[in-house]
Amino acid sequence: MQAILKTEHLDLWYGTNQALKDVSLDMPEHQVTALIGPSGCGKSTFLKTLDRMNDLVPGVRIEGKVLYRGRNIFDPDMDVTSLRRHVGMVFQKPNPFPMSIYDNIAYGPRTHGIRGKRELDEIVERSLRGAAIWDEVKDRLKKSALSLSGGQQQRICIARALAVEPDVLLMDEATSALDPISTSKIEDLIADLKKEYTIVIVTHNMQQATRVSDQCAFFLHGELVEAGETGQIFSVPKDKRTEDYITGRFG
Amino acid sequence: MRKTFDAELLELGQELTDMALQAQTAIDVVTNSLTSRDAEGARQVLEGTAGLDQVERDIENHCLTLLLRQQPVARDLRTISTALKMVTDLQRIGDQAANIAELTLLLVEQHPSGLEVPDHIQQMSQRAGMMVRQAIAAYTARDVAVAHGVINLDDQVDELFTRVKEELIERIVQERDNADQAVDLIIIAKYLERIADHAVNIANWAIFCVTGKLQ
Repeated sequence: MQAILKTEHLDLWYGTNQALKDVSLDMPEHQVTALIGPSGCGKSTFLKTLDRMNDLVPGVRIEGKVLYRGRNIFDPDMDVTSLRRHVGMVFQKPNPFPMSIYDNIAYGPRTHGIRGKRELDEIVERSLRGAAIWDEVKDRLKKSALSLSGGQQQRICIARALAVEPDVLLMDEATSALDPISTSKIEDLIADLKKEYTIVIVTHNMQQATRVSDQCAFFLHGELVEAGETGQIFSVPKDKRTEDYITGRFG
Repeated sequence: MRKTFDAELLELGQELTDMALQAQTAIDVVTNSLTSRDAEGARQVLEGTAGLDQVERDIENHCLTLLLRQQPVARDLRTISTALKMVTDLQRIGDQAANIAELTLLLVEQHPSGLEVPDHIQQMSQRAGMMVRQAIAAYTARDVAVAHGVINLDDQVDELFTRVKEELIERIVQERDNADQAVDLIIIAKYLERIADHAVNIANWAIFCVTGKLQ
Protein backbone atom coordinates (compact mmCIF):
# COMPACT_ATOMS: atom_id res chain seq x y z
CA MET A 1 0.00 0.00 0.00
CA GLN A 2 1.24 3.46 -0.87
CA ALA A 3 2.55 5.61 1.95
CA ILE A 4 0.76 8.96 1.91
CA LEU A 5 3.01 10.19 4.66
CA LYS A 6 6.54 9.05 5.39
CA THR A 7 9.60 10.18 7.26
CA GLU A 8 13.17 9.65 6.12
CA HIS A 9 16.04 9.84 8.60
CA LEU A 10 14.17 12.31 10.76
CA ASP A 11 16.22 13.87 13.59
CA LEU A 12 14.87 16.44 16.00
CA TRP A 13 16.60 18.34 18.78
CA TYR A 14 15.10 20.49 21.52
CA GLY A 15 18.22 22.57 22.18
CA THR A 16 20.93 19.99 22.86
CA ASN A 17 18.48 17.22 23.67
CA GLN A 18 17.88 14.91 20.73
CA ALA A 19 14.23 13.83 20.86
CA LEU A 20 14.08 11.92 17.55
CA LYS A 21 16.95 9.86 16.15
CA ASP A 22 17.03 8.87 12.50
CA VAL A 23 13.37 7.88 12.30
CA SER A 24 12.20 6.46 8.97
CA LEU A 25 8.59 5.32 8.91
CA ASP A 26 5.96 4.85 6.21
CA MET A 27 2.35 5.59 7.07
CA PRO A 28 0.28 3.81 4.40
CA GLU A 29 -2.89 5.31 2.98
CA HIS A 30 -6.21 4.26 4.61
CA GLN A 31 -4.46 2.54 7.44
CA VAL A 32 -4.24 3.30 11.13
CA THR A 33 -0.67 3.60 12.39
CA ALA A 34 -0.30 3.50 16.18
CA LEU A 35 2.75 5.05 17.81
CA ILE A 36 3.55 3.43 21.14
CA GLY A 37 6.31 3.74 23.70
CA PRO A 38 6.96 4.97 27.25
CA SER A 39 6.56 8.62 28.23
CA GLY A 40 9.31 10.76 26.77
CA CYS A 41 10.15 8.28 23.99
CA GLY A 42 9.46 10.81 21.24
CA LYS A 43 6.17 9.52 19.87
CA SER A 44 4.23 12.74 20.49
CA THR A 45 7.14 14.81 19.18
CA PHE A 46 7.09 12.61 16.07
CA LEU A 47 3.33 13.10 15.65
CA LYS A 48 3.59 16.88 16.05
CA THR A 49 6.40 17.01 13.53
CA LEU A 50 4.11 15.47 10.90
CA ASP A 51 2.14 18.72 10.62
CA ARG A 52 4.94 21.03 11.72
CA MET A 53 3.47 21.85 15.11
CA ASN A 54 6.99 21.85 16.54
CA ASP A 55 8.08 24.76 14.34
CA LEU A 56 7.41 27.35 17.00
CA VAL A 57 9.05 25.51 19.89
CA PRO A 58 12.10 27.60 20.87
CA GLY A 59 15.42 25.93 20.11
CA VAL A 60 13.95 23.17 17.96
CA ARG A 61 16.10 21.86 15.12
CA ILE A 62 14.94 19.31 12.59
CA GLU A 63 16.92 17.31 10.03
CA GLY A 64 15.77 14.67 7.58
CA LYS A 65 12.51 14.63 5.70
CA VAL A 66 8.79 14.35 6.27
CA LEU A 67 7.17 13.57 2.93
CA TYR A 68 3.48 14.25 2.44
CA ARG A 69 2.41 12.84 -0.93
CA GLY A 70 6.07 12.80 -1.92
CA ARG A 71 6.77 16.40 -0.99
CA ASN A 72 9.01 17.42 1.89
CA ILE A 73 6.89 19.47 4.31
CA PHE A 74 10.01 21.39 5.35
CA ASP A 75 10.57 22.77 1.84
CA PRO A 76 10.86 26.56 2.09
CA ASP A 77 7.88 27.08 -0.24
CA MET A 78 5.62 24.73 1.73
CA ASP A 79 2.49 26.56 2.91
CA VAL A 80 2.01 25.43 6.51
CA THR A 81 -1.66 26.44 6.60
CA SER A 82 -2.31 24.36 3.53
CA LEU A 83 -0.36 21.44 5.05
CA ARG A 84 -2.52 21.56 8.17
CA ARG A 85 -5.64 21.56 6.03
CA HIS A 86 -4.49 18.21 4.66
CA VAL A 87 -3.04 16.87 7.90
CA GLY A 88 -5.42 17.48 10.81
CA MET A 89 -4.73 17.03 14.51
CA VAL A 90 -6.90 15.93 17.44
CA PHE A 91 -5.44 16.42 20.90
CA GLN A 92 -5.51 14.49 24.13
CA LYS A 93 -7.84 16.84 25.96
CA PRO A 94 -10.97 17.82 24.07
CA ASN A 95 -10.43 21.49 23.19
CA PRO A 96 -13.53 22.84 21.48
CA PHE A 97 -13.52 26.61 20.90
CA PRO A 98 -15.74 28.55 23.34
CA MET A 99 -18.41 29.06 20.71
CA SER A 100 -21.41 27.18 19.34
CA ILE A 101 -21.18 23.63 18.03
CA TYR A 102 -21.96 24.97 14.56
CA ASP A 103 -19.27 27.65 14.69
CA ASN A 104 -16.68 25.17 15.95
CA ILE A 105 -17.12 23.10 12.80
CA ALA A 106 -17.55 26.07 10.44
CA TYR A 107 -14.44 27.77 11.82
CA GLY A 108 -11.91 26.00 9.59
CA PRO A 109 -13.89 26.24 6.33
CA ARG A 110 -14.53 29.95 7.02
CA THR A 111 -10.81 30.47 7.53
CA HIS A 112 -10.32 28.94 4.11
CA GLY A 113 -12.75 31.43 2.59
CA ILE A 114 -16.03 29.54 2.52
CA ARG A 115 -18.84 31.97 3.41
CA GLY A 116 -22.08 30.66 1.85
CA LYS A 117 -24.57 29.54 4.50
CA ARG A 118 -25.85 26.56 2.54
CA GLU A 119 -22.35 25.32 1.85
CA LEU A 120 -21.35 25.75 5.48
CA ASP A 121 -24.54 23.98 6.60
CA GLU A 122 -23.61 21.05 4.40
CA ILE A 123 -20.05 20.93 5.67
CA VAL A 124 -21.20 21.10 9.30
CA GLU A 125 -23.69 18.26 8.84
CA ARG A 126 -21.28 16.10 6.84
CA SER A 127 -18.47 16.61 9.38
CA LEU A 128 -20.69 15.91 12.39
CA ARG A 129 -22.04 12.81 10.70
CA GLY A 130 -18.48 11.77 9.86
CA ALA A 131 -17.56 12.08 13.52
CA ALA A 132 -20.65 10.05 14.54
CA ILE A 133 -22.17 12.81 16.65
CA TRP A 134 -24.76 14.39 14.31
CA ASP A 135 -27.74 12.62 15.87
CA GLU A 136 -26.69 13.72 19.33
CA VAL A 137 -26.30 17.42 18.53
CA LYS A 138 -28.41 18.20 15.44
CA ASP A 139 -31.13 19.89 17.54
CA ARG A 140 -28.75 22.11 19.46
CA LEU A 141 -26.19 23.32 16.96
CA LYS A 142 -26.37 26.84 18.37
CA LYS A 143 -25.56 25.67 21.88
CA SER A 144 -22.05 26.09 23.22
CA ALA A 145 -19.76 23.17 22.45
CA LEU A 146 -18.51 23.47 26.02
CA SER A 147 -21.91 22.27 27.28
CA LEU A 148 -21.27 18.80 25.86
CA SER A 149 -19.74 15.82 27.68
CA GLY A 150 -16.01 15.05 27.27
CA GLY A 151 -16.64 12.25 24.79
CA GLN A 152 -18.97 14.46 22.75
CA GLN A 153 -16.50 17.35 22.85
CA GLN A 154 -13.78 15.07 21.52
CA ARG A 155 -16.02 13.99 18.63
CA ILE A 156 -16.74 17.70 17.96
CA CYS A 157 -12.97 18.18 17.74
CA ILE A 158 -12.76 15.28 15.29
CA ALA A 159 -15.64 16.81 13.27
CA ARG A 160 -13.81 20.13 13.32
CA ALA A 161 -10.72 18.42 11.92
CA LEU A 162 -12.82 16.67 9.24
CA ALA A 163 -14.52 19.92 8.18
CA VAL A 164 -11.50 21.06 6.16
CA GLU A 165 -11.42 17.71 4.34
CA PRO A 166 -7.98 16.48 5.34
CA ASP A 167 -6.29 13.33 4.05
CA VAL A 168 -4.57 12.50 7.29
CA LEU A 169 -5.80 12.66 10.87
CA LEU A 170 -3.27 12.76 13.69
CA MET A 171 -4.60 11.85 17.12
CA ASP A 172 -2.53 12.41 20.25
CA GLU A 173 -3.94 10.15 22.98
CA ALA A 174 -7.38 11.23 21.85
CA THR A 175 -9.26 8.92 24.23
CA SER A 176 -7.08 8.97 27.33
CA ALA A 177 -9.34 11.52 29.05
CA LEU A 178 -12.56 9.68 28.15
CA ASP A 179 -14.69 7.01 29.83
CA PRO A 180 -14.89 3.49 28.32
CA ILE A 181 -18.13 4.15 26.40
CA SER A 182 -16.84 7.35 24.81
CA THR A 183 -13.55 5.59 24.12
CA SER A 184 -15.39 2.77 22.38
CA LYS A 185 -17.31 5.30 20.24
CA ILE A 186 -14.09 7.00 19.16
CA GLU A 187 -12.48 3.63 18.40
CA ASP A 188 -15.46 2.64 16.23
CA LEU A 189 -15.16 6.02 14.59
CA ILE A 190 -11.47 5.44 13.83
CA ALA A 191 -12.38 2.15 12.13
CA ASP A 192 -14.96 3.99 9.96
CA LEU A 193 -12.75 7.00 9.26
CA LYS A 194 -9.86 4.98 7.91
CA LYS A 195 -11.92 4.14 4.83
CA GLU A 196 -11.51 7.78 3.81
CA TYR A 197 -8.58 9.01 5.82
CA THR A 198 -5.14 7.92 6.86
CA ILE A 199 -4.84 7.94 10.63
CA VAL A 200 -1.86 8.15 12.94
CA ILE A 201 -2.51 7.80 16.67
CA VAL A 202 -0.39 8.06 19.77
CA THR A 203 -1.66 5.84 22.55
CA HIS A 204 -0.51 4.58 25.94
CA ASN A 205 -3.24 1.97 25.86
CA MET A 206 -1.79 -1.23 24.41
CA GLN A 207 -5.21 -2.84 24.07
CA GLN A 208 -6.39 0.17 22.11
CA ALA A 209 -3.40 -0.07 19.77
CA THR A 210 -4.22 -3.75 19.26
CA ARG A 211 -7.89 -3.01 18.60
CA VAL A 212 -7.67 -0.07 16.23
CA SER A 213 -4.35 -0.05 14.42
CA ASP A 214 -3.14 -1.82 11.28
CA GLN A 215 0.51 -1.11 11.91
CA CYS A 216 2.30 -0.24 15.07
CA ALA A 217 5.54 1.63 15.65
CA PHE A 218 7.44 1.30 18.94
CA PHE A 219 9.58 4.26 20.01
CA LEU A 220 12.20 4.26 22.76
CA HIS A 221 14.57 7.10 23.71
CA GLY A 222 13.79 8.87 20.42
CA GLU A 223 14.51 5.84 18.27
CA LEU A 224 12.06 3.84 16.22
CA VAL A 225 12.86 0.39 17.60
CA GLU A 226 10.39 -1.62 15.55
CA ALA A 227 7.48 -1.05 13.21
CA GLY A 228 5.27 -3.72 11.73
CA GLU A 229 1.84 -5.17 11.30
CA THR A 230 -0.01 -4.82 14.62
CA GLY A 231 -0.79 -8.54 14.93
CA GLN A 232 2.87 -9.36 14.55
CA ILE A 233 4.05 -6.67 16.99
CA PHE A 234 1.69 -7.87 19.71
CA SER A 235 2.15 -11.60 19.15
CA VAL A 236 5.76 -12.08 18.05
CA PRO A 237 7.68 -8.81 18.32
CA LYS A 238 11.12 -9.03 16.74
CA ASP A 239 12.99 -6.81 19.19
CA LYS A 240 13.37 -7.76 22.85
CA ARG A 241 12.84 -4.12 23.88
CA THR A 242 9.44 -4.13 22.16
CA GLU A 243 8.50 -7.36 23.91
CA ASP A 244 9.62 -6.01 27.29
CA TYR A 245 7.62 -2.80 26.81
CA ILE A 246 4.34 -4.28 25.59
CA THR A 247 4.37 -6.97 28.26
CA GLY A 248 4.88 -4.32 30.94
CA ARG A 249 8.41 -5.29 31.94
CA PHE A 250 9.39 -1.62 31.82
CA GLY A 251 7.90 1.73 30.89
CA MET B 1 7.44 -4.17 37.42
CA ARG B 2 4.67 -6.80 37.06
CA LYS B 3 5.66 -9.01 39.99
CA THR B 4 2.14 -10.35 40.44
CA PHE B 5 1.73 -11.41 36.84
CA ASP B 6 5.12 -13.13 36.76
CA ALA B 7 4.25 -15.02 39.93
CA GLU B 8 0.92 -16.08 38.40
CA LEU B 9 2.64 -17.32 35.22
CA LEU B 10 5.11 -19.28 37.33
CA GLU B 11 2.23 -20.84 39.25
CA LEU B 12 0.43 -21.73 36.00
CA GLY B 13 3.60 -23.40 34.70
CA GLN B 14 3.85 -25.40 37.94
CA GLU B 15 0.21 -26.53 37.71
CA LEU B 16 0.81 -27.69 34.16
CA THR B 17 4.02 -29.51 35.11
CA ASP B 18 2.23 -31.27 37.98
CA MET B 19 -0.56 -32.38 35.66
CA ALA B 20 1.97 -33.57 33.09
CA LEU B 21 3.73 -35.57 35.79
CA GLN B 22 0.45 -37.30 36.67
CA ALA B 23 -0.19 -38.13 33.01
CA GLN B 24 3.35 -39.46 32.55
CA THR B 25 3.10 -41.56 35.70
CA ALA B 26 -0.20 -42.99 34.47
CA ILE B 27 1.42 -44.15 31.22
CA ASP B 28 4.40 -45.70 33.02
CA VAL B 29 2.26 -47.50 35.60
CA VAL B 30 -0.28 -48.75 33.09
CA THR B 31 2.46 -50.11 30.81
CA ASN B 32 4.00 -51.92 33.70
CA SER B 33 0.67 -53.29 34.89
CA LEU B 34 -0.13 -54.62 31.42
CA THR B 35 3.18 -56.39 30.88
CA SER B 36 3.34 -57.79 34.41
CA ARG B 37 -0.42 -58.57 34.51
CA ASP B 38 -0.72 -56.41 37.63
CA ALA B 39 -4.37 -55.57 38.29
CA GLU B 40 -3.43 -53.40 41.28
CA GLY B 41 -1.34 -51.09 39.08
CA ALA B 42 -4.23 -50.73 36.64
CA ARG B 43 -6.57 -49.79 39.48
CA GLN B 44 -4.10 -47.17 40.69
CA VAL B 45 -4.08 -45.62 37.22
CA LEU B 46 -7.88 -45.47 37.15
CA GLU B 47 -7.88 -43.71 40.51
CA GLY B 48 -5.04 -41.40 39.61
CA THR B 49 -6.48 -40.25 36.30
CA ALA B 50 -10.00 -39.70 37.68
CA GLY B 51 -8.88 -36.36 39.12
CA LEU B 52 -7.35 -35.08 35.90
CA ASP B 53 -10.66 -33.72 34.56
CA GLN B 54 -10.88 -31.41 37.54
CA VAL B 55 -7.22 -30.40 37.19
CA GLU B 56 -7.93 -29.58 33.53
CA ARG B 57 -10.88 -27.36 34.54
CA ASP B 58 -8.81 -25.63 37.23
CA ILE B 59 -5.98 -24.84 34.81
CA GLU B 60 -8.45 -23.64 32.16
CA ASN B 61 -10.06 -21.34 34.73
CA HIS B 62 -6.67 -20.05 35.75
CA CYS B 63 -5.82 -19.30 32.09
CA LEU B 64 -9.14 -17.55 31.46
CA THR B 65 -8.70 -15.44 34.59
CA LEU B 66 -5.21 -14.42 33.48
CA LEU B 67 -6.50 -13.56 29.99
CA LEU B 68 -9.22 -11.42 31.53
CA ARG B 69 -7.19 -9.68 34.19
CA GLN B 70 -3.81 -9.28 32.52
CA GLN B 71 -4.85 -8.95 28.87
CA PRO B 72 -1.54 -10.52 27.90
CA VAL B 73 0.33 -9.93 24.66
CA ALA B 74 3.39 -11.42 22.96
CA ARG B 75 5.24 -14.10 24.97
CA ASP B 76 2.71 -13.91 27.82
CA LEU B 77 -0.20 -14.47 25.44
CA ARG B 78 1.61 -17.41 23.83
CA THR B 79 2.42 -18.93 27.24
CA ILE B 80 -1.19 -18.78 28.38
CA SER B 81 -2.77 -19.90 25.09
CA THR B 82 -0.27 -22.79 24.95
CA ALA B 83 -1.26 -23.83 28.47
CA LEU B 84 -4.92 -23.65 27.49
CA LYS B 85 -4.34 -25.99 24.54
CA MET B 86 -1.83 -28.33 26.19
CA VAL B 87 -4.08 -29.03 29.11
CA THR B 88 -6.59 -30.67 26.76
CA ASP B 89 -3.91 -32.99 25.34
CA LEU B 90 -2.75 -33.88 28.86
CA GLN B 91 -6.29 -34.68 29.91
CA ARG B 92 -6.76 -36.86 26.80
CA ILE B 93 -3.50 -38.67 27.58
CA GLY B 94 -4.92 -39.36 31.04
CA ASP B 95 -8.12 -40.66 29.41
CA GLN B 96 -6.19 -42.99 27.12
CA ALA B 97 -4.13 -44.30 30.04
CA ALA B 98 -7.38 -44.95 31.94
CA ASN B 99 -8.82 -46.77 28.92
CA ILE B 100 -5.72 -48.96 28.77
CA ALA B 101 -6.03 -49.60 32.51
CA GLU B 102 -9.65 -50.72 32.08
CA LEU B 103 -8.73 -53.10 29.29
CA THR B 104 -5.78 -54.37 31.33
CA LEU B 105 -8.08 -55.22 34.24
CA LEU B 106 -10.38 -57.04 31.85
CA LEU B 107 -7.53 -58.96 30.21
CA VAL B 108 -5.94 -59.94 33.53
CA GLU B 109 -9.31 -61.15 34.77
CA GLN B 110 -10.13 -63.09 31.61
CA HIS B 111 -6.67 -64.49 31.03
CA PRO B 112 -5.03 -64.90 34.44
CA SER B 113 -2.19 -66.97 33.07
CA GLY B 114 -2.33 -66.85 29.31
CA LEU B 115 -1.98 -63.11 28.59
CA GLU B 116 0.71 -62.56 25.96
CA VAL B 117 1.57 -58.93 25.36
CA PRO B 118 3.58 -58.44 22.14
CA ASP B 119 7.03 -56.91 22.66
CA HIS B 120 6.14 -54.23 20.17
CA ILE B 121 3.33 -52.97 22.43
CA GLN B 122 5.87 -52.57 25.22
CA GLN B 123 8.13 -50.69 22.83
CA MET B 124 5.23 -48.50 21.72
CA SER B 125 4.42 -47.77 25.31
CA GLN B 126 8.00 -46.85 26.15
CA ARG B 127 8.27 -44.59 23.11
CA ALA B 128 4.90 -42.91 23.76
CA GLY B 129 5.82 -42.34 27.42
CA MET B 130 9.17 -40.89 26.41
CA MET B 131 7.50 -38.63 23.84
CA VAL B 132 5.14 -37.22 26.47
CA ARG B 133 8.05 -36.65 28.88
CA GLN B 134 10.14 -34.92 26.24
CA ALA B 135 7.24 -32.84 24.92
CA ILE B 136 6.65 -31.52 28.42
CA ALA B 137 10.38 -30.95 28.87
CA ALA B 138 10.42 -29.03 25.56
CA TYR B 139 7.62 -26.81 26.82
CA THR B 140 9.15 -26.26 30.25
CA ALA B 141 12.60 -25.45 28.83
CA ARG B 142 11.17 -23.62 25.79
CA ASP B 143 13.40 -25.93 23.70
CA VAL B 144 12.38 -26.08 20.04
CA ALA B 145 14.98 -28.75 19.14
CA VAL B 146 13.64 -31.18 21.75
CA ALA B 147 10.11 -30.52 20.50
CA HIS B 148 11.14 -31.36 16.94
CA GLY B 149 12.73 -34.57 18.27
CA VAL B 150 9.34 -35.58 19.72
CA ILE B 151 7.60 -34.92 16.41
CA ASN B 152 10.16 -37.08 14.60
CA LEU B 153 9.60 -39.98 16.99
CA ASP B 154 5.97 -40.25 15.97
CA ASP B 155 6.81 -42.18 12.80
CA GLN B 156 8.46 -44.90 14.91
CA VAL B 157 5.33 -45.28 17.02
CA ASP B 158 3.16 -45.43 13.91
CA GLU B 159 5.43 -48.09 12.46
CA LEU B 160 5.30 -50.13 15.66
CA PHE B 161 1.51 -49.87 15.62
CA THR B 162 1.44 -51.33 12.12
CA ARG B 163 3.66 -54.21 13.26
CA VAL B 164 1.53 -54.87 16.34
CA LYS B 165 -1.55 -54.99 14.13
CA GLU B 166 0.09 -57.43 11.72
CA GLU B 167 1.25 -59.70 14.55
CA LEU B 168 -2.12 -59.72 16.24
CA ILE B 169 -4.02 -60.31 13.01
CA GLU B 170 -1.74 -63.29 12.46
CA ARG B 171 -2.47 -64.45 16.01
CA ILE B 172 -6.24 -64.19 15.35
CA VAL B 173 -5.81 -66.31 12.24
CA GLN B 174 -3.74 -68.92 14.15
CA GLU B 175 -5.67 -69.01 17.44
CA ARG B 176 -9.30 -68.16 16.81
CA ASP B 177 -10.24 -69.00 20.40
CA ASN B 178 -7.97 -66.24 21.64
CA ALA B 179 -9.20 -63.62 19.14
CA ASP B 180 -10.83 -61.48 21.89
CA GLN B 181 -7.52 -60.99 23.64
CA ALA B 182 -5.85 -60.01 20.37
CA VAL B 183 -8.54 -57.46 19.54
CA ASP B 184 -8.24 -55.87 23.01
CA LEU B 185 -4.49 -55.67 22.56
CA ILE B 186 -4.97 -53.94 19.18
CA ILE B 187 -7.21 -51.40 20.89
CA ILE B 188 -4.55 -50.85 23.56
CA ALA B 189 -1.98 -50.30 20.82
CA LYS B 190 -4.32 -47.77 19.21
CA TYR B 191 -4.60 -45.90 22.52
CA LEU B 192 -0.81 -45.80 22.74
CA GLU B 193 -0.63 -44.49 19.19
CA ARG B 194 -3.10 -41.74 20.18
CA ILE B 195 -1.00 -40.88 23.25
CA ALA B 196 1.97 -40.36 20.93
CA ASP B 197 -0.20 -38.07 18.76
CA HIS B 198 -1.08 -35.98 21.83
CA ALA B 199 2.64 -35.77 22.65
CA VAL B 200 3.17 -34.41 19.13
CA ASN B 201 0.43 -31.81 19.74
CA ILE B 202 2.14 -30.76 22.96
CA ALA B 203 5.47 -30.51 21.12
CA ASN B 204 3.85 -28.34 18.46
CA TRP B 205 2.43 -26.06 21.14
CA ALA B 206 5.86 -25.90 22.79
CA ILE B 207 7.25 -24.69 19.44
CA PHE B 208 4.42 -22.15 19.08
CA CYS B 209 5.14 -20.88 22.58
CA VAL B 210 8.68 -19.96 21.49
CA THR B 211 8.25 -18.97 17.85
CA GLY B 212 4.61 -17.86 17.58
CA LYS B 213 4.28 -20.14 14.56
CA LEU B 214 1.74 -22.94 14.36
CA GLN B 215 2.80 -26.06 12.51
